[in-house]
Formats: sequence, C-alpha cells, structure tokens
Amino acid sequence: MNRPTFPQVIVVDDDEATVEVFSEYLELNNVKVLATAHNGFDAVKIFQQNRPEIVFIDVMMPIYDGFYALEKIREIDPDVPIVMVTADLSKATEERLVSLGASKIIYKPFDIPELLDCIETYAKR
Amino acid sequence: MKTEYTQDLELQRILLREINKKLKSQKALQNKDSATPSFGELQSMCEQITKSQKRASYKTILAVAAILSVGFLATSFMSLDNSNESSPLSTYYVVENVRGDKLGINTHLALSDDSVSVRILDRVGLDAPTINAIKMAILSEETVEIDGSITHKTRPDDYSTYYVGWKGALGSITEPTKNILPKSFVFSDSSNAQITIEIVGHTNPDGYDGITRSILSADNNSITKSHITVYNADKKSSNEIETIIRHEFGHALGLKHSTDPDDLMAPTITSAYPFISECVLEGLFHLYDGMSQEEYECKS
Repeated sequence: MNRPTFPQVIVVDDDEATVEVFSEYLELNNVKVLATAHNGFDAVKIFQQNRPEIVFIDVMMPIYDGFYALEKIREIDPDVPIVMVTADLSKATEERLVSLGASKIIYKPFDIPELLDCIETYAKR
Repeated sequence: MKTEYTQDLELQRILLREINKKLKSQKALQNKDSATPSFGELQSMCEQITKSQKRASYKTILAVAAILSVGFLATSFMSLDNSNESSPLSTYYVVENVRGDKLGINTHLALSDDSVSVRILDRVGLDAPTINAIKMAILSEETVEIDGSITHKTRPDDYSTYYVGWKGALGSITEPTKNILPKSFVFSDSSNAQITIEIVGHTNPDGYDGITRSILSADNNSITKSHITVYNADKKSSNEIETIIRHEFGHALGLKHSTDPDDLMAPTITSAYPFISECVLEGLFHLYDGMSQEEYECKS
C-alpha cells in the first residue's frame, strides 16, 4: 500500500477471540486498529472517541446489536465507511443493513482477500 | 446447522492465527532485509491459504492446524494474546464525621430539595469526550438491557434493565421516600458543591483507582459533602474513568460496597457491564427511606 499513513479502523464483535485474531491480522497487514468493542453500545463510544477511517461491525451481538451501532454511527458521520460482518444471509437483513447505511456487507466466514480488498478500497478515499 | 456454523468460524479463527503466524515470520525476515511487504504479496499469500482452505476438508485442516499449533507453541517467543481488556478497577470509600473520625456507617445525602450540585476539578486537562463521559455517568437517562446469564444472576434470555447514568436511575424510582431522593444534578464551579470530582494524574499510594471521602452532618445522620478522587486519570481510558465515576458517585449518594462481584458497587470493578442495576436502586431506595443498607438484601 503506497500510503503515507496506515488505515485506521475499529473492530466490533461480541466474540472476543474473533476480535483478537482479526485485529492482529489487520495490524500485521499495516492496518491500525484504534480500538475494539464487544457490543453496539460501546461501538458508538469508541467511534466517537477515535474517529476511524473504516468501521468493522458484527451484526449479531447481545444487548445493543450491529444495527444499533450502524444507525448511531451513521447519524454521527454520514460518510465513514461502515463494513458490516454477518453470518445472516437473509434478504431482509441485507435490506435493513443497506437502508441503515452500510457501506459493505461481508458474510462470515469471510473471504480473507475480499477483506483486504475492502480495506484497500475504503482506505484510498 | 448451528454446529456447522460454529465450526466454520472456529476454523476461520484457526486459519487466521496461522496466517498471522506466517505474516509475523515474514515480517521478521523482511525487517532483517529492511524491506516493506507489498499489499499484493500479502494478498497473494492470503489467497493461497484461502484456496487451500477451500480444497481441504475440515478434519484435515484441523489436523494441520493442530500440528502447526504444537510446533508454534514449541518455538514461539511471542504471545498471541494481545487482548486489550481493561484491568479491574480498585476502589475505596471512607465516611468521616466533622472531626475527621472515620465511621463505619452509611447514610443518605442531606438535601433541601432534590437537586445536587456537582463540581469537576480536572487537574490533568482531560479532552472533551472524556469530560462528557464523566457527565454521562451522572446525567445519562439511557438504559441497557442485559442478559442475566452474563452477570450470573438469571437464566439466559432473561433480561434486566441497567442504567447508564445516575439521573436516569434515580428518576426511575417513583415511590416516595422518607428522605429527599436526589433527582437532578447541576454542574457548578462552586467550592460549596455537594459532590466534588477531582481528576488527578498521580498514583494513589494504596493502589486505588478511585476513592470517595464523605463528610457527615454534625448529628451523623446524613452526608453533607463528598469528594471523589480519580487517580492516574491521564493513563486511563474515558470508559474506565466513566466507570469509576459511576461507582464512586454511588458512594457519594450513600451506598457502600456490594458483595456481588459482578455489581457496579463491588470494591473491585471487573464487570464488563458496570452499569446501575435494579438491585443497586433497591438498596438506594431503602437507604433514603430510612433503612440502613446493612439491613437490606437485594431481591432482584
């Protein structure tokens, strides 16, 4: 990546092991993980505190889910790329995510090159 | 289906760990050569691994991963555990009379009306979001629904309401109490504020992250003033400071420590959800209704 600075992201998933390994993977690919959270409520908080370039949010989380985080973050920043990660393949979920302003939907288990492509695409903006 | 999905995710984690390990090795080599890995090289590597993931059976990959893991454990000098969970927050509180004698009692805040003045003394120059987080611990009226199984209180899918801020929490108490229950909080710069929050950069000699010192009235029947101190604030996240304030503010209102380790008012806060529980509110209600907290056992 011919970038003067590393892309800066936040990662939100209720599964701590996934957050850990995913964040490590991003860091190893020269992507700076500014903060992580395990629910939608904390996702909004860390977004406000860090203002990342790209946001990765798992959809299905307890208490405050990814829909909540997507909606709130979109209210704060209409332009920030928000990548929603989900295992729910239903059309209804896709439509809801799109209507709430998801920039991209990645389905679990995700395709790893697709993930890097995604970061490359949004970080260039 | 659920099992297959879980296995798929577990498999992906295993593969990601393996990719991470390879990337680390590659980076170590490149550091020796002072070369920077290109995005294309990394992507190509991931594609190769992903293709092998698609070709191989689940059992084969597990077996390979297990062998690689054993090898990795034998040779690794780096821990994969880079989790950024915050440390437990250690707290303390003390109640003194006007002469400075420490008393082992707890009582309610003395109020002429339901408004409480609060002063923030920021000694470290916190940023605006952190100051806002402190205020939210007091003023927020937001609630959070938490699955009781997470806090080891109820069965899964049995949700309880928790409050993010004290204003919202206290506002939910509608039954009248014998003593005036605080309902609103006004921030002020006056040194006469009933609750002062002091944010400092130095370390507490006993290792506490937060301390509340409350002064009783002459008749020892109520709290006239409280002073909350948050230590090492410049090294704490706004989430941690907010949690400490939420906890210490409970002491300023008269609460003592909880014996429930998952509760906001536990002496050491370890809960991932350090919000104000209905149990805390029940205790507070009884305290302001004239019953000592020692006499009260949480029912919810």
